[in-house]
Amino acid sequence: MIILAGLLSGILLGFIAYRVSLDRVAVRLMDGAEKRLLAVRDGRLNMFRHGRAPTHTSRQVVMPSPDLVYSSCVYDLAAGDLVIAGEMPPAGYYWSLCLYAHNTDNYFVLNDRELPERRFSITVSRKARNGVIQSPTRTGIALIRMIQRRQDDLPVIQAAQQSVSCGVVKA
Amino acid sequence: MNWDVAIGAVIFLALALAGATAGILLARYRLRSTVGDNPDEIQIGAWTTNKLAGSSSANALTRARIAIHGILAMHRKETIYFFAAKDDLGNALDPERDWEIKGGAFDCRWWSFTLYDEEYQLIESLSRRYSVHSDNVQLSPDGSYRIVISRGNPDTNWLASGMARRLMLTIRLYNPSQAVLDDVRSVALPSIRQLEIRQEAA
Repeated sequence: MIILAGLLSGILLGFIAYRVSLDRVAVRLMDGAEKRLLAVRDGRLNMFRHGRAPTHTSRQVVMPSPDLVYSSCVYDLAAGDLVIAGEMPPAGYYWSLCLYAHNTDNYFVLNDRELPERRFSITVSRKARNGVIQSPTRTGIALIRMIQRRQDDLPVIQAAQQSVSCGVVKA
Repeated sequence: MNWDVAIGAVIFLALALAGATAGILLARYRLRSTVGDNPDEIQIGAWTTNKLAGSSSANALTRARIAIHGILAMHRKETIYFFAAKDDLGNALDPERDWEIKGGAFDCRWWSFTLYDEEYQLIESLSRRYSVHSDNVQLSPDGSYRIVISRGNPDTNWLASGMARRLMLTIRLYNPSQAVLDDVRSVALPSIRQLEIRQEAA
């Protein structure tokens, strides 16, 4: 009887330990990614940091795409909703905005083909409301990607980067 | 003191502890490889793709693996990723050897091949070109391509293996067509073979 009970709880604990170990890896690495992205400038939350196309010396994330230019905003919704707004580059440039929860899930994606015009504005909130994107976790990362095919594309890309903002508004 | 109860408690605790340890060890073991033993993954020849990468319905193993080798990957609607660490015969892509990738264009908005080292980072190359993609690829008259992985520069569609100790090859399909999204197995993926003769540095 004792052996059976021990075996059953062993199996149950095995499943739980397996799952918890894996979940902790994802959250720990997301913590690391948020910290590294924040360290690019002065560590401020809710602010975009604009990168250049990654090279062999880049270490912010693993497997970066060398053909994309990234802008990242590590957000925290503790103080209110987050408004991400700006302008996309002109037609022909791949552009996307991704939102990542603290467990690494990419819970929202928007790309240039889905937007009716170049200007965009989205609101991210902890609470579900009409016209608002709900973040599954309080903290996360907003990531804008733009394609850079050649060096000449840089002025257009940088203008689009400078146009975006990521700021908290009171809910 | 009732010895029966004491021995029973010790047996119970030992079995429970063994179970928990086994769970932790299994998690660690499965994270040592980037692919395999995962129902979310699809294996097509030398290539592996994860049909739930970035999705909230992904399992815990997918989430942990993506966090390790591809954190901030995009949902498949936006980009489908294929990985290969071995050739068509199942041999690891040894950077001491030269490799040849042969295939055709993909049904998507934009595609790219990128090579990464053992730390999943880009590899230093003099050309500063880290990828072969749908804009810079040189196609044969029949629309196919041949890409070479080597330390030296063969001066064509080239991915540099530089000083890497291990290689991981990635294909990205940006905004894949509906046909690809509906059936990822329909994607014709390129072959990966070892070159018998090493490429001369240009």
